[in-house]
This record gives sequence, structure tokens and C-alpha cells, in this order.
Amino acid sequence: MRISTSIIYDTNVSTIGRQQVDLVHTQQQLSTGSRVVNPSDDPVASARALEVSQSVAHLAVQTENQGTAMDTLKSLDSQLGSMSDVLDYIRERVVQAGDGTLSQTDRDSLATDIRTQFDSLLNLANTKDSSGDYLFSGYKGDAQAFSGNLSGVTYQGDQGVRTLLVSNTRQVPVSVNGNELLMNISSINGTFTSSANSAAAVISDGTVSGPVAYSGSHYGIKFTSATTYDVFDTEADPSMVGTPLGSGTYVSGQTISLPDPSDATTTEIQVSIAGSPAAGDTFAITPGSSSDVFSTIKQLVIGLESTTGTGYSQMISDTLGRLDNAMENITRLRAQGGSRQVEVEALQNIGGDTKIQYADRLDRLVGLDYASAISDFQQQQTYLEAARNTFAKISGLSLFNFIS
Amino acid sequence: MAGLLSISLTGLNAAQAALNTTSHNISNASVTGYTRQQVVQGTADPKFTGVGFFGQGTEISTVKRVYSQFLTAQVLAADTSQVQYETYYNQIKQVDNLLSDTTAGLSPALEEFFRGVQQVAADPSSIPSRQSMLSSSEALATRFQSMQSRFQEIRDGVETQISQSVSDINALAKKIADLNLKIVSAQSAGPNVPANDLLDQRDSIVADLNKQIKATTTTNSDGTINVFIGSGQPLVMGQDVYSLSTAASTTDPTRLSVGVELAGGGVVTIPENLLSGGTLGGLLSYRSDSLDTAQNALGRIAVGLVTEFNAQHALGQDLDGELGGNYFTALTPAMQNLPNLTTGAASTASVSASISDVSGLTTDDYVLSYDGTNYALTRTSDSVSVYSGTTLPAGVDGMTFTGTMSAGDRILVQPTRYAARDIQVAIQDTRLIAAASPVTVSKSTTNSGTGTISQPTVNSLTGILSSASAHLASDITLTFNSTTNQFTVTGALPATIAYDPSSNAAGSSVTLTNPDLTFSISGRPANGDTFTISTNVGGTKDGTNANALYALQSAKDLIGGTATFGYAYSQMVSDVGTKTSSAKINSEAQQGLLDQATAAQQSVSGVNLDEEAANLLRYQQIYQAASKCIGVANTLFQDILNIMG
Repeated sequence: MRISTSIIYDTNVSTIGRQQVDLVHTQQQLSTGSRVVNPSDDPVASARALEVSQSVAHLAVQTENQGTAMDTLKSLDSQLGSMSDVLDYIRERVVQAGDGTLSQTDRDSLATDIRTQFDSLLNLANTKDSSGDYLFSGYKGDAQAFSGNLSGVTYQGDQGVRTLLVSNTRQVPVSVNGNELLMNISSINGTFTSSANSAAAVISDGTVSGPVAYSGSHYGIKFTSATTYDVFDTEADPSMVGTPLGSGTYVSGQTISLPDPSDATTTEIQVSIAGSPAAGDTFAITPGSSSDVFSTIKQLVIGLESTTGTGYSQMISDTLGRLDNAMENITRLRAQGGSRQVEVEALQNIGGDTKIQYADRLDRLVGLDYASAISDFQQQQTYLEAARNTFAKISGLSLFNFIS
Repeated sequence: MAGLLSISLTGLNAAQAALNTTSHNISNASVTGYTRQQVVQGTADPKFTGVGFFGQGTEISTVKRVYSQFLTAQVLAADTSQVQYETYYNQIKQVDNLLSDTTAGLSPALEEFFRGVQQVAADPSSIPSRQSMLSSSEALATRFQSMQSRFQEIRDGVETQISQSVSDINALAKKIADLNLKIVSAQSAGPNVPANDLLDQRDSIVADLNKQIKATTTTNSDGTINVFIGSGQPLVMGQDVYSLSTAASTTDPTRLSVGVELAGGGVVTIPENLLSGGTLGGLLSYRSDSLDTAQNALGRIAVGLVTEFNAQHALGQDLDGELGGNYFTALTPAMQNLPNLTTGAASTASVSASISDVSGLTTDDYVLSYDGTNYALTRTSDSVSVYSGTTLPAGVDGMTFTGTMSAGDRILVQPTRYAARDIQVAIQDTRLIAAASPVTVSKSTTNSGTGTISQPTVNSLTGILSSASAHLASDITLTFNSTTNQFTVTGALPATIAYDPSSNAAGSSVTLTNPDLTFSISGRPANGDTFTISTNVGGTKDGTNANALYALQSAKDLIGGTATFGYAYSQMVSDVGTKTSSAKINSEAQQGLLDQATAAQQSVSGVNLDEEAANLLRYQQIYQAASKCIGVANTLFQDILNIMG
């Protein structure tokens, strides 16, 4: 077969050209550290890499929010801790006030102390966050959460709970609204309150005998003598004149079981009464309504300053109960915040792992194996040099060299 | 002696002719398209004598090209395909490069944009967060626009090159016709006396033409050739040229279509799919296969994002308590009236289109037409009808049309083409970002149960009023009745919601129909417990709607509900990457074929300098030998003269 001289040149030039293209491509891979320089190098991998990058961006946003959530929850916890301290202090004062030997002057000075604590609590409840918004006003960041003074405090926020997106689907609540925190505190067991009209006896906050046994019935306990009482369903019989649900013999401090009005064999609630009730005294047990801390303190102050006689001990007992409820409520919210911190922390750990996985995935998709790339580069370099050398030799061969 | 002299002379002449041809070959060794020439030599007619035939020397019959029609045709075929693929590759590589740049691609801007949205969701009342969202939105819009403008530059380049290629084709056709004329007169002695170098020239021009567009030739008896393109449209017939021309396409005035000029005037458009091969074929197939698709795919992301984002933004409430307006300027399909089919004048139709469902959007362009009875929507890419009916299309491929058309009217509809250019952030005031929900829920302070209701999600504006002070006609209250295990609803429909605390306490999702709200109820409400859904007054710390906006990032809203915005983009990158890669492979494979075909053709027709050097020596020796014969004749003659003297 013959070969034309120009083909020798053309072939060599195009071969060398192609080898140079390959060499430059490998060099680009080495300098960018990426196997895929253009999407066309590996369309599937580059599309997948884009998707992974998006997930990385998602994760970055979530990580940022997790950090913010952690900080917010921690600062919320310390705010709630301070409130708890104030309430604790007030509670100590109330216990002190329960001492029957205190003079009115002593009570007045306790009242003064508690007034100061009231202001400090109100101040804490109106804390602002770093962007100048009220911390406990729900969604209404601009509205002062609590306004007023000892004569009456109103909540001006709403019941919104601020949230942060900490994972693909989880919006973690990072705020507590003032209504839930201080204004709407249900009694510990959350279902009923008791009240009395007797001057000489005190009824306790009772316990529900089972988590769902209390169905919202209204009870009345009416003493027929100093030692006997009847239990009425005051919803059906408000004036307590009909047939009682049951009756019993009174022993101070002993448990009184209140049966289900529709099924006398089931006990719904247990309460106890202490002191010396007189015939005709009534005690009422109604479905729980909530109390607010500010009015509890207000009533305490008024009570300390003006209540005398036997009503005083019921006031102290009620206040202690309510304060305990309020502190229990704060503890519950702190526990809730704490478990959210644990949750966010777990997400942070997972996020760290996921980030490594994504990086690994990206590396496998478009990352460069330097060892093989460098080896490729040297191979291509060798080929190119060989092509150049042999081309120089071939082009030097000509019969004309021998014609003189 | 006279015989010896004249015979030697023929040898001398023949050797000289061969030497001339050899040196012609050597001189033209590097000329593209040159075909090596050979002297065709034969013995001269012998002289008859009584004793037999005496040779009368040699004679040159002709100088011919060493040429193979078959091999040359193969080279042409390989070359035209190679140029087509290479052109395609060089063009699409620009898009490939555009998408390869991770800092210039859409992905980072999209991520940054949603990050901005999430910052507002995390801290809705913060003005810096809101400003950062606006800035990242501007950056996203700019990124769309800059990618679009790069696409537009590439498109403008393609259009320029198409018109350049057509004018090159016309110039080459003219040259072929001129050479046809020259060859006819040069070969007047007959086809046995070929005008070798003119034929080479013509072949080389045909090869050039073939690089512009696939051309086939037939040879006429007078030595001229006819050139045909496409499916047999004549370009050159002997000495006549039928020029091509470019004109704005009748289906899309923004692009050039190629037509052939008729002898009697007028132009007939050649369908694009018939114009294959060469630069022109590569440009045309790139324009319709890749550029349109890629540009429309980018536009589709823009339309999808704008439409979905605006829809969700409208369901929120801004810092002033107003419902959200358009966050981005709304995008509608680009409409352009085309010439009326019957009158030929511009259509008088007045039709507007809107995007009714972004998931239905495709990357196609359409022509909407009306024949007096039926409306039809036809894809421009493959002329397939996607709708035909007596009313204007509604909800077809994500679009809904309204308006009036006259019979024969045609409208070009491009739902996505210019979207990336037209995307714009509509608001500048940070307060206007609707991050909050227009309604909020609260439970009554007298509730004794543990029931809770989650912040409602607004599904649509049904029952939501635009007044800033009251988004609901009246507050909605839900009161629990433990006897019937139902919530009684006032101020909304339906009037009752079933809720059984013993089985639903873990959470039950509830949707009201008017207003259109969804929320979940959980816990154990007690009898008479009430919840109130009311206007979210002053809810500056509420990021509910911003979170819903952020959720759009992972919502599969595009491509029939299968792709998120990011996925649609990576699909576009993958599509362009695949096309680039296959164009590159095709181009390389075709280059291999071309190399082989060229080597085969050159092995017959190409000049080999060593061979020519040998020929040079051979004919030199023949020349010297013939000279020697003349010398001998001379000596003989001298001898005779000496005898005489």
C-alpha cells in the first residue's frame, strides 16, 4: 500500500494534537482536584453532585438553625430559672407568713418584700431578646408581653410559639408564650380546684384517683354536724338539699373519697379537710380553672396586709398551692426545653456525621484519584514525547537526502 | 539515422513530459485537494516494412489524475458528518462550560436564596434577615438573567453563523458554476483530455461546500456537475446557481430559516431536518435540539419558582398585617402573533395566557391556531398537536388561554423562553415580606382539658379577607362537646369536626373548607373547652409562612410533580452534559472514519515524495538514455560524413 507524504504529517499532527488535549484535560483535573471538569465529563455524576451540594446547603441551614435553637433554648432556660428563683423566694416568705405568731407589722414587712419580688418577676417576664423583641409575647414581638402593676397585670401577647427548622421536617419550638408561662396555670393535677366557705377548716388541693377518672363533675361537701358530712352532686343539686351521693364521719386531715355521680362505686377524686368545721359549712370542688401568678401574688399581698382571722390560713394554703403549681409549671417548661436541647444536640451530632457522608459522597462522585491521575498524566506525557520523537525521525527520512 | 533521431526524440520528449509531471506533483505535494498526475504513455504506431513492423518510438496519450470517485465520495460523506458533529460540539461546549462553573451556575444562587428565606423564617421580625433575603433574591434574579443573556449571546452567535454559512454556500455554489463553465471550454477536445487541475479545484470546492452542508453531485456528459442539497434541492445545475437565502422563520420570527430562491422569484423554506451535514446542519440541529431545550429548561425553573413562590407568598401576612403581594414580578407565557394563514397579514388575535399549573410546563414552544371552528395547540419542535377543541385551551401543558381569535390566526406561545430574562424581585421594602400567617390560634384560658391546636396552615385565600385588621369575616371558635366527641365550629365550615380524645389524642389533622385552613388537634380537651382562630394581629415573630416558602425548596413542583427546582436544574445540567459528551464522542468517532477515508483516498491520489524522487531518477535516466541515442545518431552521421570527406 502506498502512503502519501502529506498523510504522514497530517496523522502525526492530529495525533499530537489529541494527546495534548488529553494531557491538558488531566492537568485541569489535577489543578481543580475534580475528576469532572465539565458536566460532559460525567453528566450523571455532575448532576448527582449538584443534588448532593443542595443537600449540603440544606444541612448548612439546619446546622445554623440548630446553633440558634441551642442558644435560644439555653437563654430561655436561664430566664425560666430566674423566674423560678423569684417564685421560690416568695414561697419561702409565704411559709414564713404561715407562722401564726407573726404580728401585723411582720406581715406588712413580708408584704413589702413580696411587692419588690412582684416587680422583679414582672421585669423578668418582659425580657427582650437580642433583636429587641419581647421574649414571652408569642408572635407579637413588638407588644410588651405584660403590662400593669400589682393592681392588675394583663398579657398582651398571643399564644404563638416561635419555632426553628432544625431538620428536614422538625420545627422545634424555642419560645414559651407568657400565657402558658404565667397567666394560665392549671392546678397540678390539671383538672379541678376546691374552695371552702368555712372559717375554721381548710380543704386541701386533692388528687385525682386515676389519670382519667375525673370527668368534670361538681361536688359539694356539706357538714351536717362537726363530725359528719354529706357529699352532693352540685351540678344536679346546687343547693345541696336532695339525696347526697354519700356521707361520712369527719376526722381532721383524713382522706375523703368523692364517687362518680353516675357510678357510686368508682372514686373520682380524693381530698382532705383539716381544722374544725361547723355544721352548715360547705366545701366546693369544681372543674379546674386556671390561675395567674400575678394575681396570686396580688391576693397574697392583700391577704398579708388585710386578712385576719381564720380565712388567713386558707389564704396561705391556697397561695402555697398556687405557687407550687406555678413553679411546677415552670419546671415542666424547663424540662420541655431541656428535652428539646437534647433533641437538637442529637441532631447536631447526626448533622456532623451526615456532613461527612455528603463530603464522602461528593468525593466519590466527582473527586479525583490523584494517584491514578498523576500516573495518567505521566503516561500521556510519555506518549506525547514518543510521538514527537518518532515524528522527527520519520519526517527526516526522504529519498531526496540521497540524491546528490 | 533520421528514424533513430526521431525515435530518440519521442523518448526525449516523453521523458521530459514525465519529468515535468513529476516536478508538478512534487511542487503540489502540499496543496489541499491536489490529485497526483500521471503521464499516460504508449508506443507510437509502428511502421510496416516488408520484413515486419518497426517501432516508431513512444507517444504521450494524456496526463491523467490518479483519482477514485468512490474513495473521494467516502471522504466527502465522512467529512460532512464530522464537521456537523464538531460544530454541534463546539456550540454545546459553550453551554457545558457555562454550567460547569460552580460559582456561575444556578445552584449556589438558588441555595443562597432559600437560605435567605430560612433566615427570615428563623427570625421573622429581624430587618437585617429580611434585607438579606431580598438581597439573595436579587442575586438569584441576576443569576437567572446573566445565564439567560449568555444563552442569548450563544443564540445570536448561532443565527449569525447560520447566515454566514448560507452566504458561504452561495459563494461556493457560484465558484462551482464558474468552474463548470471553465471545464466545459477547457475540455472542448473531449473528456479524454481532462482539465486535471481545474477538476481538482472543483473537487476541492465541492469538499468545502460539503463542510458547510451535505451535498451530492452528479456528473454530466459535458464534464459539468450538478450539486444537490437536502432532499434533492438543486444548488448548482451546470452553470446555473440556485441561491439559498435566510429569512425570519414563519413559526418564530426571532430565528432564521433557510430557503431556496426560485427561478421565478420567491423563496421556498427548506425544513430544518432536511438540511443535514456540515456547519449549517450542525448549527440547525444544535439550535433545535439543545439550545432551545436548555434555554427553556432554565426558563421553566424561573417560571416555576416565581409562580409557586408568589402563590405561597400571597397566603402570608407582612409586617404591616397586609396579605403578601407578588414577591417576584409574575411571569406569563410570551405570546407573539404570527401571520394569519389565510390572509398572510399579521394575526389580529387578542389572547392572553397564564400559568395554571407549573408541574405541567414543558420545555417546548407552541403555536396556537384557530381554523374558525377548532382551536389547536401544536408543539413547534415536532408539530404534534397537544390540544384541539372548540374552546381555547385551559390547563394544557400548564397553560390557560383567554381571549379571541379570528379564523386562520396563529400565535407563537413560548411559556418559558424569556422567563429567565424577565424574572425580577417585585418588592423592595423589607416590611412587605409576608413571613407570618394571617391567622393564629389561641385556647381559652378557662379550658380545663389538655387539648391543643397547632398553628393553622392557610391552603388558599378562600375565606381570607385582605383587610389588614381582619383577615377573617369573624373569629372561628371550636368548642368541644365530650358527649358527641365533636368540635362545634362557628365562623367556618364544616360546622362540626369529629374528634375522639381516646383515639385522636396523638394528633389528628383537620381541614376547614371555608376559610381553607389545615391544623392538627391533639391532647384531651374537656367538655366545653374552646379554641379561637383569629386574625394574627401584630404577629411579627411568626415565621409560619416563611417556613412554608422555605419548604418550596424541597417541594416537587416541576416536571409533572417529580422535580424540585434544584433537581430540575441538575437534570438540565445532566441533559446538556450528556448531549455534549455524545457530541464529542460522535465527533471523535467521525474523525476516526474521516481519517481512515482520507488515508485510503490519499493512498491512491496523494503524492509520495519518495516515489516522486524515484520517478525523477527514472525519467532522468530515460532522458539521458534518449539523449545518448541522439548522440549515437550524431556519431553515425559524422562517420558517414567522414567517409564522404
